Amino acid sequence: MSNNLLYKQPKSWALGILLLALCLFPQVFSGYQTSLLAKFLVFGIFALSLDLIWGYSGIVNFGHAIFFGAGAYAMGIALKYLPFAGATYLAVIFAILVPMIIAILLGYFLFYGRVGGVFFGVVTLALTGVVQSIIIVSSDLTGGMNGLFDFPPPKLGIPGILEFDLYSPTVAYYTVLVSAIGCYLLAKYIVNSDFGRVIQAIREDEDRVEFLGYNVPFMKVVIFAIACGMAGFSGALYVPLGFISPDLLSIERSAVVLVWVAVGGRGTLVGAFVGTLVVSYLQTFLSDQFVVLWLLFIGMLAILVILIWPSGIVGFARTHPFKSLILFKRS
Amino acid sequence: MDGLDLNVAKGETRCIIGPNGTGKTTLFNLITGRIKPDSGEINIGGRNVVSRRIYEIARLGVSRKFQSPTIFGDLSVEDNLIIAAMGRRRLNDLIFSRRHGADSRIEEILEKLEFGELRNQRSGDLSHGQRQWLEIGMVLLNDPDLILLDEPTAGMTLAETARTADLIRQVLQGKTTLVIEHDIAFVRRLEAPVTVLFRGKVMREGSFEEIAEDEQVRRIYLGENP
Repeated sequence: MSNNLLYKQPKSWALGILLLALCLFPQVFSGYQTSLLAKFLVFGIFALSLDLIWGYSGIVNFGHAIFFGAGAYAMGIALKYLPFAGATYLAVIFAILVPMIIAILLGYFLFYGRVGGVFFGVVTLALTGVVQSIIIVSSDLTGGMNGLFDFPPPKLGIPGILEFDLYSPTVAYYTVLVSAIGCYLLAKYIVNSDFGRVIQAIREDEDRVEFLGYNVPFMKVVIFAIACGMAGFSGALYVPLGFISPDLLSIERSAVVLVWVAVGGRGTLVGAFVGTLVVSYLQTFLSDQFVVLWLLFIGMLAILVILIWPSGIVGFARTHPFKSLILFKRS
Repeated sequence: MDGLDLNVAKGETRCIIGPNGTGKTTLFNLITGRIKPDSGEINIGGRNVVSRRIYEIARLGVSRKFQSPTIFGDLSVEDNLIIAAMGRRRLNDLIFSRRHGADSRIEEILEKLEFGELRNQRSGDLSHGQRQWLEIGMVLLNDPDLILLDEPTAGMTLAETARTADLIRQVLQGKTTLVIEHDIAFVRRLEAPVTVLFRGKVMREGSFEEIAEDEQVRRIYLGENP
């Protein structure tokens, strides 16, 4: 009987086991391991937000770390200047809104100005330097090169009554886990909606979409703002797990998120998490073993995966005998 | 294109023929806003659309089928039809997938195109003819008042061409439609009034038979020696 059920609903079973394993993780592994996985799941949300624009809308963004960093800084600054119970919630909203507003301004000028494709990417790349410089120069607000650290710890729960410190690895882990699932479901809802269909049509042929009556630049601004808001949210989640410094907005971070999405599989959503976890764990392992050469190995892996499986790990699993890896099946 | 004066009655299908380079596709580009006229006005429903953007003109009820089939190849047949049907909706209708009757119209078109089994197929895998028909379905679902079809039979086999003519007569009945076509057999089969363009001007208008018998048209277009 149970075998029958397993056969009929293999995907639900596999998902259930995965969720259970993720829920039990802090009970089985150390605080360090829990924090590490939490951090990688935060990066997974960041990669997911890039997949929404790069994988689904075809918008090339070489400066996606701007929005991650803007979210982290907005969170830190809000925590610093809002010293009352429950400020964390406001800070998170702030961390979503600031990157969204940057995205709307950038998108308005570039998409309405018909700057697309690789040119858009180049502008975002240049903007990375601009934003990083602004952060370094405004050291009163951001801490400059030293980073931002003197803010009260973020807390969740009922303000003033029952509060959970996000610096606890377990609290941070479960917060991130719930957020990752929430962001994934939101992204899935968006790409499966009629809006998501239009976005994918824009990726293929934006001229044709316009002839059907769609205001294409507006649609692009909307998806770009949603994705950048999500990137900002991941930046906010990163605050209790890492350190807020200008490095968060670096070109390297913008490049590595492209690698995560490409390795996992562009335009698959779940691939963003798969790619992030695979590359990040490998990076952790390799940088322990090979203090100097690890970056070379990661680079080679990325090139190999992209050459051999252009559609990434998930794309490959969906179309090859690995189909039995039912978790990756398109639904 | 110079001093072109073309009047089409509401609900009429009109064929536009003429030698290459005579301005047929330019006419469609002008109406849909892809190119702007040096001077003069283009009025749609009494509104001058010269300064409007492409999507605004589409929202006024102009839908166009391109010469080579222009569909979204990575998306399914049904997705293509949904995108066309939702073309004039607001953003929140799109985000919440509120179709408001579009679903039944999509079913109707799937049936008329005989696409029932192809519904979930990747549209890029369709045959050339099927893609042309899918795009005709998309144009229709876009719910236009004026339909522009640019060479709907380009690259089709004889059988596909015949089916296209039947399909256009059947599904576009009562819709104001301009059809650019080179295939004379197709034009005959469409049984629609014909306008002959020559060097950016209207040269003749009339039924297919009248046009076919016109000496001047035969000379410049049908390729007969005088």
